Amino acid sequence: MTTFIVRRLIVTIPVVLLVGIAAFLLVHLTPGDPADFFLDPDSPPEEIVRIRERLGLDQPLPVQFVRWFGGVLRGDLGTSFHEKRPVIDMFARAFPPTIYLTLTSLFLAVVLAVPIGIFSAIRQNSALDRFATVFVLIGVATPNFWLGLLLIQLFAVNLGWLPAQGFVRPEQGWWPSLRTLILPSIALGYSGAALIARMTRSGMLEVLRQDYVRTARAKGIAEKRVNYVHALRNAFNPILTVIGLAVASLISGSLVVELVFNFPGVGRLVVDSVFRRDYPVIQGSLLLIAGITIFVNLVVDLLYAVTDPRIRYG
Amino acid sequence: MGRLRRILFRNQLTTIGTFLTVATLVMAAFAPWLATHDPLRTNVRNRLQPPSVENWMGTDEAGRDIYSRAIYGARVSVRVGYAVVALTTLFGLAIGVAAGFYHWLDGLLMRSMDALMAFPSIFLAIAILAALGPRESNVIWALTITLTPSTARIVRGVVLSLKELDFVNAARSLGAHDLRILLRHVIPNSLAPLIVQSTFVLGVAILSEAGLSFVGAGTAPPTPSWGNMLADAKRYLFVAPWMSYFPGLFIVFGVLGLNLLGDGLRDALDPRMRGH
Repeated sequence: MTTFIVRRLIVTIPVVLLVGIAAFLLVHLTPGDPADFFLDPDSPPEEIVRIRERLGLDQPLPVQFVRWFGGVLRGDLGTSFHEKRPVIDMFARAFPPTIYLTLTSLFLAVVLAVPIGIFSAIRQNSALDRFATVFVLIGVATPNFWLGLLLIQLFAVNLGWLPAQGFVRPEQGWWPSLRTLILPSIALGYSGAALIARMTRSGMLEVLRQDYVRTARAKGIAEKRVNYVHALRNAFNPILTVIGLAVASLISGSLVVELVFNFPGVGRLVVDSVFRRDYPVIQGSLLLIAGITIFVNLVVDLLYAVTDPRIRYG
Repeated sequence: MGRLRRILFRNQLTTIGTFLTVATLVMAAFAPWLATHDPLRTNVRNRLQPPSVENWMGTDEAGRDIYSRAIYGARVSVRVGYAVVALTTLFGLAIGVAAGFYHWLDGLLMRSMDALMAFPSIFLAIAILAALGPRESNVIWALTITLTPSTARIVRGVVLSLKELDFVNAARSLGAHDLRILLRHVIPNSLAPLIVQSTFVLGVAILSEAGLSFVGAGTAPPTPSWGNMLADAKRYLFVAPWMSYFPGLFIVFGVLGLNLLGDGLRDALDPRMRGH
């Protein structure tokens, strides 16, 4: 097991490095001088030279990269051009709402989708299976931000049950906080649920066709035990894979959903920074988000090894 | 022709998919004939009107006809979607073949693809658009960069499995060079998975373009796109809910059609994947 973890961690290092290079190049290879973003368009030339020196922009690109990435590894993501505050502080404020939103969406998606997927595979072509097919097809095709707009109209404007906008932090009471999370989580979670249900169903169907399942049935083991012990256990890995993928797509989707609900999270921060051309914030958020995705994939891979001993020794 | 018809209309769901996909293309191609109004003509006295005989889907905050704007909006989705498919196929093929054929390139190329996949697509696209500026051509490039890795992986998989097969080894021992093997064996064998992949890339590209336009990083107003129409709708959610209904339905039907068609194509072209 330890060898497996170590080997898996070593594979991650080049990916992290490449992610860093990509985020770095994005800013440094774009047309225009990064120094321009610090300056008024009509600053004197000496001022530009001074700023370039202070930012280290007069150094060769590889040197700049090593300095910047070294800082990143020490937790220094630079200073926001616009707010003149450390980027890391801005994240500390924007991250919790996004994490809550992603986690509640993931929870909703998994709790809903895994049973739907399992039952529709066990009862293939039943009414439930047909319902699941429609649920999946519509979920994959519906833009989360549009679903968000419809939910606001129904539950906030017409029925008045839930707030339409904003986020209450849990420190101010968990119930008011949860109320602000319900609609955005449904809007964000539905497409993830569709994805997970689809993969759970196909993973389960695949396993149910295997010889050992037939053998188990032939031995006279109760249908329930065959389905839930023999089959489900082996369908875990594809389900885990798709949950990992769903986390990435939920984080990506949260950017747009946060705008629909005026949520003060990372999505809001990134979009605002884009319009202010606040590069350190964009760069830092890209890195952090990519880091989380890599971490989630790592956890998923390690969980494989837990649920499927073949991988550990493979 | 008979075979194509059997594939495109092989069952109810695939037929619906083919119909919706063709309908979106027809809307984009014949927008000037299908629209009842000029999509850009404002008419302040007729603003925020609910659906009526004159304006089938109502009017927006500037009194523009929502039906006509939605029809023209199909043009942006189709242009961006098909351009992204063409480019991702081209780059995916090049990268996938290079990684599959040349072992020394494999590690570098595939780890780079992993790195790109680590960035959630909308985040990466929006960062690229921040650097390049919100323009339709940049939306196409941003989505191409985020969607190429999955296509490259599929092509690499095909190449790796082909390399083991006897007929490819036979061709090689007869003196066929890489280019010949590429043209005669790899590309024909990649065709089926690539066609299926294209329908899904199209769907994702249309959804992503709409999302980017919705946050203001995609198609700039006044050019109508389904995403920026929904961004307008958000501001008038309380007074003019119909503004949000129709552009969203166009997106759902367009993407649903592509997914249904893609499922049908996959079942028809790749029997191993049937039932997934």
